[in-house]
Amino acid sequence: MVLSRGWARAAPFALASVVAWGAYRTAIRPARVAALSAADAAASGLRQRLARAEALSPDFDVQEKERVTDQLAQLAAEVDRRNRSLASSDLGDQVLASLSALAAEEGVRFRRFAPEPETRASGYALRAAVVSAEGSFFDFLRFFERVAAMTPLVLIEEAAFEASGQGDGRLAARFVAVSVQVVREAPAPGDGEEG
Amino acid sequence: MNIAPRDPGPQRRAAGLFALPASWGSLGGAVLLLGTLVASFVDGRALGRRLERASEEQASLGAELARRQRNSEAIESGRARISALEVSRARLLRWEEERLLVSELLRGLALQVGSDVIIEELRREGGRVFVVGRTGAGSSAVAAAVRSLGRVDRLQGLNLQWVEQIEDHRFPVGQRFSLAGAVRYFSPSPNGFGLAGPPVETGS
Repeated sequence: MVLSRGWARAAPFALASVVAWGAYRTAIRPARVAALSAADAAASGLRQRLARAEALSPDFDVQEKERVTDQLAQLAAEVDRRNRSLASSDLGDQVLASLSALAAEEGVRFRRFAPEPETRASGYALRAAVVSAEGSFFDFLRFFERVAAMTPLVLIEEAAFEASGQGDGRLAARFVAVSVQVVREAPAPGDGEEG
Repeated sequence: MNIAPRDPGPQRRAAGLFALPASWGSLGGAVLLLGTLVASFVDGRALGRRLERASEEQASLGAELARRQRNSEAIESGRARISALEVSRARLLRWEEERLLVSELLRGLALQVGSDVIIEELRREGGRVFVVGRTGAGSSAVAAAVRSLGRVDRLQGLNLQWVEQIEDHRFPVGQRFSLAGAVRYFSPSPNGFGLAGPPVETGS
């Protein structure tokens, strides 16, 4: 077969074109199409998940987060304010010891004052003292009214009163006085606010 | 002399029909190659752009989902902290009420109990309150004493435990009685509250 010189010159270009197109179609394009399909599929999956989340609760997360944040701030402020009525960490024993002087002012005599080991519960340290005392009904009334007005707060637990048995109207009392302190605990990891 | 061209023969005649000048062949081939390369490039670039857009969308959706996830976690964590703080607040409210309890109980007894009733014993164990008293003879005297004790603000659910006859120099004929009831709280109950045992919850 005889080709003209023009066709002969065109043949290498045509061959190179075929090779280039073939290489592109077989080696480059399929990989890109596959990557595109994967990206489309992933985006579609994410879109569906997002649509489901939004359909369930449009703007829920934003509004709820704001609500939770507000409520948290209010509660924290309130708890902090109320915590201030409790003893500071170095006052617990002094507070309990001061009860004796207070009692003496009101005519109540402490017969026994027995501090107990500190216990802790939910971020609070409780220091208790078991007290046996003697006085008249109204002595005790005045004493406990002053205890109720004390700062820091002192709780009276397990109170028991009975006639002293001497027929003089005096009462023997036994109660547990408790001073409460806030225990500052290290913040748990991950307690930080999310942006 | 024959000036006519020689017969090129059948093959050359056939080739001559599709003859292409040499320069045209080079040019045409180059154009074809260039066109192929340009087409490949344009197609590849279009695919690349689509891929880029898809990746951007994927990243954006992923970021949005991650933001929602973070918010959900923050909400969960916030709710847990709110629960803990609510327990703390309830505990503090209860303590603030608790500190007044004994004095209010004593004041209530002083106000409500008449001179015909003697309180011999008053005992508080957590949320329970026990009273032993004595009064004049007759069930009406005991009933009146129970009624008067029932009017003490901080007491509720008083039940008569027992009544016994007594005789001594103050009450030649009298009756001793025992009542058991509960402390009335007005603050909510915190879980796990209690210094010396959990109180019996009977209040609001």
